[in-house]
Amino acid sequence: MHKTMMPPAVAPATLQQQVAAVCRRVAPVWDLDNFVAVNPFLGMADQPLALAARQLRCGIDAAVLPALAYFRERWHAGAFNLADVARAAQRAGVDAEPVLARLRGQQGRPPTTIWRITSAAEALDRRDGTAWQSLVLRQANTWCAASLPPDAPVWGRPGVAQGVYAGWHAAALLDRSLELQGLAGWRAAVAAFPATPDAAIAAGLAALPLAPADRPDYLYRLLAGVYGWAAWLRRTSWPDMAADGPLRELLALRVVGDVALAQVCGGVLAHQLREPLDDADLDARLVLQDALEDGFIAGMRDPFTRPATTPLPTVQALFCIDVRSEVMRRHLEACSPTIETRGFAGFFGVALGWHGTTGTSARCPVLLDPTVTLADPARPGLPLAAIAKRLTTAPATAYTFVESLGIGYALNLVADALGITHEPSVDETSVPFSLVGLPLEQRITTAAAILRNTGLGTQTSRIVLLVGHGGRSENNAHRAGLECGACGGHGGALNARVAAALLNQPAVRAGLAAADLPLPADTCFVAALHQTSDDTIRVLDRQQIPATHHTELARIERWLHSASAAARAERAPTLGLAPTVADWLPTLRRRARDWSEPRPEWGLARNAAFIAARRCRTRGADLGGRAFLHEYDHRQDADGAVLGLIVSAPLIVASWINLQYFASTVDPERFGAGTKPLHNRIGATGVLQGNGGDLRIGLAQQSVVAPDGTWYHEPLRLQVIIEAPTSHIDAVLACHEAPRQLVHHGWVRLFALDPAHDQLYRFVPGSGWE
Amino acid sequence: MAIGEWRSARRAGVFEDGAAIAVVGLVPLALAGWIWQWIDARPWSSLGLTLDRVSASIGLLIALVGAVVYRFAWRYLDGEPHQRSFLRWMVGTVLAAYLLVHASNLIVLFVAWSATSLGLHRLLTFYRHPAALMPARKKFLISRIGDGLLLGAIGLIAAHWGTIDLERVLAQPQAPSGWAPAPGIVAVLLVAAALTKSAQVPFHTWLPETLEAPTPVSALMHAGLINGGGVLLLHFAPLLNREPAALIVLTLVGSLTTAVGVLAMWAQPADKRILAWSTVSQMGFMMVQLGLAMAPAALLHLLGHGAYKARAFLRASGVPPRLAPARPLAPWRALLLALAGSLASGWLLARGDAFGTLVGSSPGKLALTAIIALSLGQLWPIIMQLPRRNPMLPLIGIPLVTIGGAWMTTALYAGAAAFFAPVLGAVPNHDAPWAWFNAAVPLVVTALLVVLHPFLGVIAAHPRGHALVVHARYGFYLGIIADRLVARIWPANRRGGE
Repeated sequence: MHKTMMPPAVAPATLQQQVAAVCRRVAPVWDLDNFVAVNPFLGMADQPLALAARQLRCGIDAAVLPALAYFRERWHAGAFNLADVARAAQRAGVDAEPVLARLRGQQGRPPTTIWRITSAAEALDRRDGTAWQSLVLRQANTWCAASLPPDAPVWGRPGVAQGVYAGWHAAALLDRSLELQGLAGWRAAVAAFPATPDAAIAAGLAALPLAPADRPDYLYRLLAGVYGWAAWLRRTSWPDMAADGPLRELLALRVVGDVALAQVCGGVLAHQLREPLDDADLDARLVLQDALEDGFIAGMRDPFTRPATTPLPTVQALFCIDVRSEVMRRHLEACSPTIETRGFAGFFGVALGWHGTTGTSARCPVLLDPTVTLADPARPGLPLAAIAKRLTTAPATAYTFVESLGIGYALNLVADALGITHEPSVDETSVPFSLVGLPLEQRITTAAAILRNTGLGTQTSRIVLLVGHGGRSENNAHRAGLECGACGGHGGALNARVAAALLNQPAVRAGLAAADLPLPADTCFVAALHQTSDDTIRVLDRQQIPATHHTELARIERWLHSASAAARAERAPTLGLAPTVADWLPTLRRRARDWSEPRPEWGLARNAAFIAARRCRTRGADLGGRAFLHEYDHRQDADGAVLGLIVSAPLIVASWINLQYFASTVDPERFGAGTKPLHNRIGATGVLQGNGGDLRIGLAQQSVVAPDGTWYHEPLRLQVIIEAPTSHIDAVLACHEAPRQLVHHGWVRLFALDPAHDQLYRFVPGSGWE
Repeated sequence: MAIGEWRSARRAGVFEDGAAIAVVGLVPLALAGWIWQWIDARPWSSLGLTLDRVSASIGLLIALVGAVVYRFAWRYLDGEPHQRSFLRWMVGTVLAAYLLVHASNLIVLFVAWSATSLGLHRLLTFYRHPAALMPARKKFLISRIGDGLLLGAIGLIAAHWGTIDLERVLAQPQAPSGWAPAPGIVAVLLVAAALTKSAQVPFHTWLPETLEAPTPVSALMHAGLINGGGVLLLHFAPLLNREPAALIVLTLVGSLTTAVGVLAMWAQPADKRILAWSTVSQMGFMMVQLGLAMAPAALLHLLGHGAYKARAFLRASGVPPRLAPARPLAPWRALLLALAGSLASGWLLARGDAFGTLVGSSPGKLALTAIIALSLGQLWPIIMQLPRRNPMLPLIGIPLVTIGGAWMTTALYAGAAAFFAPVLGAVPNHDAPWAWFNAAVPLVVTALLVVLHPFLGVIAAHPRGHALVVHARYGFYLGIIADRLVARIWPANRRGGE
């Protein structure tokens, strides 16, 4: 049975549109300084998961869902049962029997064959047994690594100013590497191509025996092997989908490289460009994925049956929705029934643009632009690292430098190994900032937005904690991935401090009262930082807290202290530390500062659910640090504005995180950053593996795989549970395209928690609520 | 960190504890040996091993780097398949390198020399990717050439000196057999063997391609094992210093290697790759120093570079703070500043040369002094390009680093010469015409690179310069050419020797 990979439902009219559509399939990647999670399937969200999975497999050899063996293993471990599979098959409208047969390891129907378009180089390799594809990719990647990142080699980036394609074209004519490997005439063939990218793509495609409808598949296929650089260039045009210029130029250079190769090797025939591929039981795996997630939901359904009782809180604490907060919140609430915790994105509504001594950064979700700009008043010190780099790359000086400072480096080596010396870092828990430059109007509107969006309202307790979070790790290229994603891959201390300072200002309080948001006069906002690598919480800006609140604060700090210890005790075993020690704080602290520690913490691994509900619906339940918890009370959101905000920002961010962990686990080659001992960093741009190759995207192996080789992260799509009537959710989703696509196309699964009962309704794509 | 806690690491076993004790225990042992030699400079020999100030110093470096790298790999490779086997091979390789440093019996020396290479081969092929195998094979074949050359030298020594004890060989400048060319041939064979071991052009191509091995291997290799050639030549320094042919080969190949290394390094974007090409260039300079008969300077270089490079590799994962943009400085001004700085530094070095070690009658010493002056001179444009908080920065910074740098290098070189004199002997004062040629080559090469440096951007913008950048990015294709040669000898499907 033969069928083509993707029936061109609406064949785009022009080549220009085809190229633009291919570029849109690529998701962006951020640099290491601002490393935030990105949904690698972002460009595919407008299609059902099954269709996207086929395209990704044909195009860039990517696996979207785990292999059958994984489901078999989980089934044997009791993660789901055969009844789950039968129900999932029924929902999907497929026959359950073949799926069960696959699960049991029986060979059922022969696998379905699909046909894909490959590059000309691959066609020649299949025909002649050569290895041209890898050589042509090496040529492209070598050039990209030296030319695309802002972290340029000492020689600079010759030719790039003229454009990505023009720069490559000029360099390719000088590049003898392929000819020395036996590809005589390649440069002459490249020289014959036009100097502008669009013309080059057109010329290249015209030279291949390729039907117009197959062009998108061919072009997409060319991105395999340079996918990381494609994502990097996609970032340059983010979020504007129309401005795909540099990425189109990358396509052009791949087309020219590939077609020039074909011309040198005597050309390819139409049938040689096609390759059969079995569909790897995709349909069965989709059903099993659903069944596995049903097993997870069944396991956590219990919490929602708890009665809703809310004693009046004596202290409120606002936490980030990050799954790591769940553990801490649970243990903090266990200290006293009078503690109320709430979940909100950890930037606390302060879209901060920060001018630090080491550069400018956006401290807010990448979906937003900074609105509050503040600066570190300190003047930058001498950039010693930069000077050392200059000295070690200058001729002659490099030699004298190592001779003169060798003894110093020997001492430094010992100090590093003993954990005495550390990377320099700016302490954002105490760096001064001033709100003076911010107009009062803006301060008031920001403060009002915080109160409204977090649902805090005006019924605040005497002390309201704003707990940001940050991670600490040493010698870790992906350090920013452990920080707060809602703060743009930075620690959350600054945002919490700015939010608290804003809300405490008398002038702002007066303005809030005028705007119908009168806060109790004795309410004091207190910033705090949750250090996720050792699970400690520290109160910040203590000097700002009036003496009248000190007794209460002392009591709260005792609670924080015991909650931290309990959170550590819960987390330590997952890091392979035996639960025999009274307090793991010294060990965890040392690990976080150890320059050779590949797993300082697990970050957001095992994340699986997003719950937008009143906390009373989940209070006391052990969600295992796997759920993003967003406070939401639909009774105060008649028009759906707050839910609209939740599904279009925090939910999107959570799904980006979820799918990043998912993809980095399931297909580490395509969507993961590889193993840490082989990381070869390009400045602050990203990492390569070993000698070179493509820019790596996603998470390192050590972030999702346990030391024993098993997957620590369980690849489950985000289970989105919203406490609201289904009609309310429908109405909100109808207004927001991005979350609607995620839900309708199966990239997340949506449930509604009935506010009045304990019923959980499931949204089934294609058929609605059940 | 206590051994007890190490054991809690999941895959650590009894053997690893023993190995950890051995490799960490080497540090106090080496330190004790060094302090002993520092107090009493008389060498001590037993069982074919010799402890003197040279071997104690390099031994201390190896022990230090070995212990740090072992501890690093213990955590960093946690969860990698075959971590235990890896740690064993690492300990074995470190011990072999330690043995090599101390060997004075030539058979022991050869065994240790080969053992480091075989151990390194296992470490380089830890990940059995095809990308890791090809450079490892190149390295394997080059090492066997080195083995052959070294064996030839040892055979000649055994035949003409009638002993395989290094002390006795060095004690007799002429071969007792009476065959006059013997010392010269031995010296050239040793130099050739050292060139294969220390990644000199054209035997260097494997080195920048071995990044398919885990970070700790790179650290150990670039800080310790790559110095094997230098160690061998330091062993034979008194013999080498009398053989002009061997010195000239060293200087020529070393100068070429520094140039190739620097040009290629400038074209690399990835940090580990920059470090690897920097090692090629630094090893070239160490060979130049040996070629100029400045063995104490070469030893100083070996130690300093080892400590620097080990740390640079182990720290390679951390994202450095963003570079502040350099203040613009026109290339011509940068060059003139560097030249003015070099003249001032040269004058200071000549005046401050209280120990008489740098400037003397020997052209080699003059050349090295000039290279130091060039290196200090380059600090001037670098300081001018720093972001300036205080407008006085250049006024204070330039005199400070020039005088400080001149004083520091003088003191270091003089100190090294005095400290190692009991082993390496006095630095010879060759001043024959060949010695002037020998000294001119590295100086001219370095000066050309210094002149080139400010103009890199200008050059790259020119079509011919662009071509140079592209070729440099590939290390002038020497690696690709070597790959094709190796593929012929050792096709991908053969699996022997790994």
